[in-house]
Amino acid sequence: MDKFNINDVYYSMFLEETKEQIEKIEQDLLLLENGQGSMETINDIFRMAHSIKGASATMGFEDMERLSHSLENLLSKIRDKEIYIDVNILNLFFKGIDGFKHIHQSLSKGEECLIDLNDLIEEIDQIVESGKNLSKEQILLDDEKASELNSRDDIHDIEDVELELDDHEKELCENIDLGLKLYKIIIVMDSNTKMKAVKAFLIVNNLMGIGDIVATNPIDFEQLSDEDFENLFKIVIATHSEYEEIYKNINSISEIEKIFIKKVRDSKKQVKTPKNVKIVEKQENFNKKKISTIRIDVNKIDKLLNLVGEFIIDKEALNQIGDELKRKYKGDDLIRKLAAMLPHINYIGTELQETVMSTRMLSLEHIFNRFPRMVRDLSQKCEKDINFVIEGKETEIDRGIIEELVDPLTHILRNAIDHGFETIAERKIKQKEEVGTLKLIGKHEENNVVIEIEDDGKGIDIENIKKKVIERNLAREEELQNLSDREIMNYIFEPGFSTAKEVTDISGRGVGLNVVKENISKLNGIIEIKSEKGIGTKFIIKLPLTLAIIQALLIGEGNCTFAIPITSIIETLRLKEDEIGEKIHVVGDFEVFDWRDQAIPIVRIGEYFGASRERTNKKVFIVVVGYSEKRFALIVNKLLGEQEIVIKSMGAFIGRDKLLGNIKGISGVSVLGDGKFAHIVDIASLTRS
Amino acid sequence: MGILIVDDTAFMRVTIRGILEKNDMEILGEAVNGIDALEKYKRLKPSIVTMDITMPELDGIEATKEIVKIDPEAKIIVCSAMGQESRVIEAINAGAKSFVVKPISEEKLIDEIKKFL
Repeated sequence: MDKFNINDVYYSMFLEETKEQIEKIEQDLLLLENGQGSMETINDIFRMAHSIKGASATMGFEDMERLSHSLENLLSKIRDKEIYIDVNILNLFFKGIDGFKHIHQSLSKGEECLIDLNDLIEEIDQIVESGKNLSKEQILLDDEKASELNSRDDIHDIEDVELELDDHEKELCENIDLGLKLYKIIIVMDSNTKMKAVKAFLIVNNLMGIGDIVATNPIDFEQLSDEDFENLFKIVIATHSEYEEIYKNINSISEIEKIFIKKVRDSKKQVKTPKNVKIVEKQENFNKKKISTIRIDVNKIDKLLNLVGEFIIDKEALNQIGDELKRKYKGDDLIRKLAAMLPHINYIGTELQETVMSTRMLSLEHIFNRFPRMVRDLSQKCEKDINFVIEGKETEIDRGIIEELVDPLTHILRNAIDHGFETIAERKIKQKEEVGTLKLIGKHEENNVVIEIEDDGKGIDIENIKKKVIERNLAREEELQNLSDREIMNYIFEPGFSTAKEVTDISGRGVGLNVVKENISKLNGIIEIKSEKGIGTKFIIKLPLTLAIIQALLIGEGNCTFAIPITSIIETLRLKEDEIGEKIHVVGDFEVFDWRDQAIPIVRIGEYFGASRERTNKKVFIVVVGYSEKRFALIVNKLLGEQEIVIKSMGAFIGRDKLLGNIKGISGVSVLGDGKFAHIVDIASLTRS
Repeated sequence: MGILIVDDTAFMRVTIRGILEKNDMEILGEAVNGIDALEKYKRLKPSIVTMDITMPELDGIEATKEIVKIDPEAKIIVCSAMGQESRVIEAINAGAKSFVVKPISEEKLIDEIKKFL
């Protein structure tokens, strides 16, 4: 049998599982690198490497098996404390992960991996054999930090077992909330200390500021005289704090000789919340929540969604027929029955749609997780020190959108690291913190998912943008004078605009932010930028929760039907004959509409798309739409009502180098209940014309 | 940085002043009882207070309470004699941040003050 048969069930299962394991190992490695790892992390990696080894051996993928075998050996040396973790070891692991990824990529295509891993494997094996670290700087595990604190001076030594909980303490700890960490602390007081009881009280008092005291030994320390008080004072504390915080709180007290701290239990996140409530937690660790799941072929879900889409079209048709029948045969018994049934069908339709949608929802974690590694590698390459913060990665969004987000986000993040941040030296001169902060935030806002990418780098100089805009003939100087800074800032999304002085291999790939914006617009999303010179830059991407079904206002122009997404509509109004002259003015070549004391440009939809040329002087309908800061008025011929439409993407045909080329103003089509097509108007691209 | 010395006995104030001056520490003033201490704390805004416990008018514990009310971050070092453990604990409960035991040793007092710097 061909061992590269992609269609084989085991083969795809193998690919799916190893992919997850590879990703998880990578996350664990990043934890270790940040000094947030523990022995448990090492064990985790070990387990995963082991199962990759087993699985790849079964499938007959030798490269992968040999690599995982070597890594496993290295891990077991680390477990046995023969080798400690240093930068070199971590880089070996990262290289190993890259090796796995290469193999995995080839396997996904059903090919043999041609990359030679022998050097890497040999390098790993050598270290395992020699049992010696190449670097002297050890990266400490969480568990080891305790002993690190202990070794500050060696006057007083205690046995390791003393830092374990005794039976009585264990019993007391059982009732402590699992969300808290438990530490056992042993404090050695200076033997000449007077009023040890009060000293102990002061320690307890300080610690109560950061947690709850579970137990002390001696228990009745407050009553003891100095003669009865041995120099040791033991405390068990339940807290959210880390070692450093505890250490600081004790060490601020005088006459303490030594402090021993050991984490005896880590916190477990066990937060129960109702289904509809989402906790936006700031996770520094990458611990995954365990949810019971089954694997379903994505194609099945997509088919289900399509079916629901068809059903919704039919449902709309049925409602239309129902309405007509009601008018025609009012009072008929069957009509009354039909009228009673339709709301139920509508209800089921909505529920069905929501449920199918929810199966398509993925948390942003799926893409966010790949960025820490990228940021790490890039910032090393650019010699910048960057603290990368991810928030709200549990925010869910349609999987169709998620896949399209990878490129834009990668682009923006790369840009930020390459151009956005100053070098460490520059930051020093500007008296900024040497470590830059790059934030990637996901959150829900009303019916949208918002993703923000924020850096505290140089920011964008508005004057530079103006210069570039004029240089590149994107606008004339006089035009710029009428624009707000924010509007000018938006020029960076224009095609042909690039402020980077030279193309680097990191962010300059001939692709500008205009492509990012194009990608986001295709998803019916919008992107904005806020930046302040010297302070930083923030990109805000607003996306719909789902791609497939939206609420839209249908309008008729000639023989064509257009759909305007409700989310972009601000107001719909009707002008009577005598109001037309009052509210619509001609300025130069443009028509403007007098709306809430602003003059906003007018687009006649029928003429714009060449669907109808007729103009009426009688009543007109005006739809005021908005896209980011911009507002304009669409003059439409007929309003056909609001309804849910299923978007059929034309993404495969529209766009640069595609069959239909760049069609301005249309983002997709929808099939209506009566079988007609509706063109979905892309407000964002209208604003550019 | 400036220190306010609070003690009802002139002898103790002189002793403490001597230790502080020897170590080049700035003394903002002296108070002879709790009420005096409170008034001078408000006026002089010292960064550290050495507080005797047993004093006429308003004792050290009450004075500590009052000072912490107006400045929760106040750094008060209680000075007390052996045998007064329970009163020191009261003072800590009232908001004192640390303590020294009389007879005051130079090393210990300076050590405590340095912990706050």
